[in-house]
Amino acid sequence: MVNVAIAVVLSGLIGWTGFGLPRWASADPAAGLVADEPGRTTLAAWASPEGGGAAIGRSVSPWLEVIGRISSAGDLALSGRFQILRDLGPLHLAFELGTAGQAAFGATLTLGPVRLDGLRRWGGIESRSWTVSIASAPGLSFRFGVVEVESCALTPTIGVCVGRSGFGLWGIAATVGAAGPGVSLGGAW
Amino acid sequence: MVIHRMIWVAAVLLGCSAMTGSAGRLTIVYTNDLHLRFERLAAIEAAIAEERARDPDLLVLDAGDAWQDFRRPLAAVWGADEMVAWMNRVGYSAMAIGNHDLYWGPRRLAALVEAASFPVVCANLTASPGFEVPFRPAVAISAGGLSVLIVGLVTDEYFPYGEYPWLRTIDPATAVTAAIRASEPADAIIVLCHLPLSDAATLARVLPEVDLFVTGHSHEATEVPLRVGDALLVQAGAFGASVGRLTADVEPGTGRLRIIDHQILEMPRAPVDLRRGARVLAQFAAMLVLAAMLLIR
Repeated sequence: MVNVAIAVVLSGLIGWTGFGLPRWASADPAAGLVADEPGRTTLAAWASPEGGGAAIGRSVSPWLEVIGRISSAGDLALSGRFQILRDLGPLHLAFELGTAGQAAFGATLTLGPVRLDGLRRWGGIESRSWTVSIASAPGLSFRFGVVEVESCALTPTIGVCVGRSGFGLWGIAATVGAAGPGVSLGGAW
Repeated sequence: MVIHRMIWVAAVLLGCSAMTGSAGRLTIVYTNDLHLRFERLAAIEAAIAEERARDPDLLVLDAGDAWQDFRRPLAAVWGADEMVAWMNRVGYSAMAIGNHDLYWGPRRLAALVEAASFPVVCANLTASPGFEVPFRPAVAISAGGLSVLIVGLVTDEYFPYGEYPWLRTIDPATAVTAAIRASEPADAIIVLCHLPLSDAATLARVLPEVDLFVTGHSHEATEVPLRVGDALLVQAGAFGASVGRLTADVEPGTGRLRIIDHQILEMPRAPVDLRRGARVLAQFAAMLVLAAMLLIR
């Protein structure tokens, strides 16, 4: 039961912030893309009833982003996120490897206003997620999908992200699940 | 006496010509929403070549959505570079960005615009500080002894906001007015817009200085050009099944267009070799399956 509750809370947070940082605004990450502009810095913070964390990322080349994370429990982790395939039509793939043994693989299909993301993590909390994001207006996107954490049942997730182009490259995302809400804030400069 | 009479007659004829004549004649071939329909390109190329043989000052315009289409798997993955190369070879004068062209994402779009030998225009999208758009708001072109200002616009319908969080949209009328003010005075002003005819008609009512709207997005064909106020509105269907050809005299001073001839020309299909594209499609399918296996198993 506890696992299920954690899964529900994590379901939203993993969707928004669990895999590196997004290309531009950290509240709405694309699983298969890294920040592709060398020198760009991205920042994200997230919170839920189960805890929170923050991450900072720095793009060092169009193919590599270095990310540092800290959780509310005080755990630190450093990871590198590699773009292994970009712009094969709408398909983008990325792989992440961390110093604490964590790894992740993400795929993104960009279909105009619609984006499909798939993400799998190994090491630490293992999870898989598949989400659909719909950008319906400047500064507003909706995301829904399913998440599986630690082999629990697939859990639906739904969320909204506001901001981004409306407020520079900063945005805030909120998700709602059975165990409570999750919120994340992110930006880039 | 005879010479005096001839001079007088010539002067009267010249005067009449100045009163009723034109600053010049424009011939425009226009396309929109080609959506990578390679099977129509040979016919379009031949039609443009034929027209250009008649009028070397021919303007060839495209109103957007030439480089992408999700309705065909191959076109969603491959073909944009080939399309740009074809448009370069055919000698397009200018192209407006369409919402589908933006679907390639910022990096690919910038590369495609860079590869284009013709100007790509869009006035109603600007970048946040620190970012750059790869297109320009407008371009001035000389044709038939006339200076023609071409201003680009794109629809916000089905816009990929998520891919371009740093892009900001401007009201189209405001964008066109700003582009006109920032440019040298022209004999004629054309708005090359990836907007439906109905939206262009709304704009025409508030932008009396615009002489012609070449439109797209709604996949309509104007057998007879629409006239809203003094402006003409045209669109050539979709998928390269037809192209539009407009010949018009430009009224001196006002830029108002007097139609000499307008036709929507049917373009037949021709077989095309897509083997190279099929290879990229196979590569895409293989990577997609591999990604799915990693994510699902």
